[in-house]
Amino acid sequence: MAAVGARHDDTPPGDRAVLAAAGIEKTYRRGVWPARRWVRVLQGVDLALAPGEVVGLVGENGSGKSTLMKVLVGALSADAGTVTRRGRLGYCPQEPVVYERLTCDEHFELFGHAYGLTDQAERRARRELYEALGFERYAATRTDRLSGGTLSKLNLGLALLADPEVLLLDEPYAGFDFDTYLRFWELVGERRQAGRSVLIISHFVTDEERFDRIIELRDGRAVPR
Amino acid sequence: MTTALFERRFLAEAARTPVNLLVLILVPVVFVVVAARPLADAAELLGGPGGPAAQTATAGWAAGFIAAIAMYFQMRAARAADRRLVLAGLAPSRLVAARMATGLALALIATAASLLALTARTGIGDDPGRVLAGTLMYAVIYLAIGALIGTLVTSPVNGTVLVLFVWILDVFFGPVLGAADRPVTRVLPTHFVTLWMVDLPSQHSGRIGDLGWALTWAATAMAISWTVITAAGRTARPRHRTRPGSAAGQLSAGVRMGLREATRNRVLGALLIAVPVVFVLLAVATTPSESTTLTVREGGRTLSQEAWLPDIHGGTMAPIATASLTTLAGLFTVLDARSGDRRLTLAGFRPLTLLASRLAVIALGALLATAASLAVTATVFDARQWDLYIAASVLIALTYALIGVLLGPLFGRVGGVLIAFLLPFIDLGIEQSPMLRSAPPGWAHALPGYGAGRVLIDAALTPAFDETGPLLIALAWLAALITAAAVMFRRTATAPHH
Repeated sequence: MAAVGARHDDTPPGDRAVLAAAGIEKTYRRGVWPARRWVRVLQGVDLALAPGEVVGLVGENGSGKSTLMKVLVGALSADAGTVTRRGRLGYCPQEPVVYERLTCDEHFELFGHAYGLTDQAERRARRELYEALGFERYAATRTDRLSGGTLSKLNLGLALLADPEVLLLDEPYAGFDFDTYLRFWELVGERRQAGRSVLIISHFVTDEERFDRIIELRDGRAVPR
Repeated sequence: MTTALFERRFLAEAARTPVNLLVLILVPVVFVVVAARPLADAAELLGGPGGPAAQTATAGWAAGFIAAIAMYFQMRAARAADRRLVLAGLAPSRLVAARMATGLALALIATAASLLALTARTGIGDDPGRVLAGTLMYAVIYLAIGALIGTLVTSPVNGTVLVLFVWILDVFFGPVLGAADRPVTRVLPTHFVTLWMVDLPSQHSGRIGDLGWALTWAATAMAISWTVITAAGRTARPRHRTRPGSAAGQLSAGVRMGLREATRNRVLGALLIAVPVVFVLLAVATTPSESTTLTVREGGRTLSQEAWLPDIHGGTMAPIATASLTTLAGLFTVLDARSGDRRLTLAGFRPLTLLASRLAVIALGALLATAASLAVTATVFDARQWDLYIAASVLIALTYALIGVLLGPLFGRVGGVLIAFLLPFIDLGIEQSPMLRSAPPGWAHALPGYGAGRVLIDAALTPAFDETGPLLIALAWLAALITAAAVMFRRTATAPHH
């Protein structure tokens, strides 16, 4: 489950970092011999996330944002580098990853068991998320019958369910209407107040003031913006 | 020009999945090479002509099946993108022509592979033009069947089971494997094509003749393909689309949710029951009144036993249908849940607990298909040892369900489906079949159905159990497949990609 060279343990390199990545490299192989070529996406990314910090990760299309996110989550192995993190991690992938024939309620129940929440804690968190994101009326609807926006809410809700110490959100508000977008930021604000760290990927950032800092992926490296 | 360009792009898309191309060639070749002779023998046994006619027809059967599966997946995979193309201004007629041409090109690859294999295996006969044209007509007719099912059935598991079902009915009850003059089987899609292709005049084609009917079927198939692909492009609407918990809690939640998900696929539930039922009943209805000789073990000795075909045919056909179905059920249960499972394990779900949940759901599906098959088999066949017969049937269903679980991650959707069709058919339908040979050949002892197949025949025909060795082989297969599934699941559902 851990990425190559990753140390998902309780000993972060920095003094306060809840998530730290050092020297992450990733190259994709494309095509077959003799037309094989290599695409270098990440060329030594260093990144650290302190408690209570909301960080934006931006970059052009194809700059490697989602690749970096997957490496940080442990869904993709890096060619080189280490990832260390403390505490629980919540991950919201760019494309909603859900089971087509299960309802929203059933998804929360299943992920509650994955996170190790008690039934009571899971139901409370589920209620709060329905209320915060405004999709309670779809609680008993199968995901293959949800609209794109509601599916995005469920996708985000599954990452937020266990109130994890680190939240990694890949384009989380892409399908939201403006009201939901504002409610999303309220939720992020509450998490920040509680000392949770949030890394948000976006191909463009409109409200820079909402972030503590913004990092740009350029030429395979992370640079402050 | 536009149509040709789109066709090229669609073909390039298909070619970029190398396993697709591999199975387009591999499946027909293996089918023709391995199945031609045994099917010819089966044909004679079942009242058909047998001999070269049946061997020639295998090329058409292989090309037809591949054409239907290729067209089905084209229709499903490209639906949304095709709609965007039409919305962007592409004339629907050009898109339809490109899709049909792509399907035909893929079918041609399968046809060429089938015919080359046939030439190498038995020779193509005195009239190669007729064989070539007949095989092509098979492909065209099955393209329409694939397109039609692709339009009507969204779920790949349901769609491929339906394709398999139509194909099995068409082949097993067609004029080469059965008698050519039954009125009820004249409506099968390739009835007249087969008769014309193997030069076996039907005597019931009227003025238009067998070739006339065959061409009418092919032309109608083209028209149906055109209509359904156009309709799909025009009318389809976009679809709205720390510490982990305790192992016991996760297992219970995993099985519960897995079952809910499975029961919401009502079409699959109905197919799991209907396919074996129809298959067994039709097999019995079309069995000629003759006897055959089987090799069985009794009291530690190998004996030849005379058996009356109508009495045993249903009992020996049932496992083929259940094995094919459970392979597909295993394949799609794991494939459909793969990305969700990966996310669930990242969130803390124990990988092996999740696998146990998935296997429990698959096993219940296998039991449902076996129960339906046994219930109908019991009305037409009387096993000598019913408890052992049931156990062997369940063993076959579980073995093939686990093979399905492995096929998905190894070969993907299309490749997995084609192998899921080929393997149970060759193993149980041909090599282990007591109808075709008195005992399985040496190499077939290595196939997954051997152990359970021998136990099944022992239970069906003899009063006492004598197949301890094959039973142990069957259990070893089950254990090995479970271990392989666990290793595969850990790698695909939980490990990072490279």
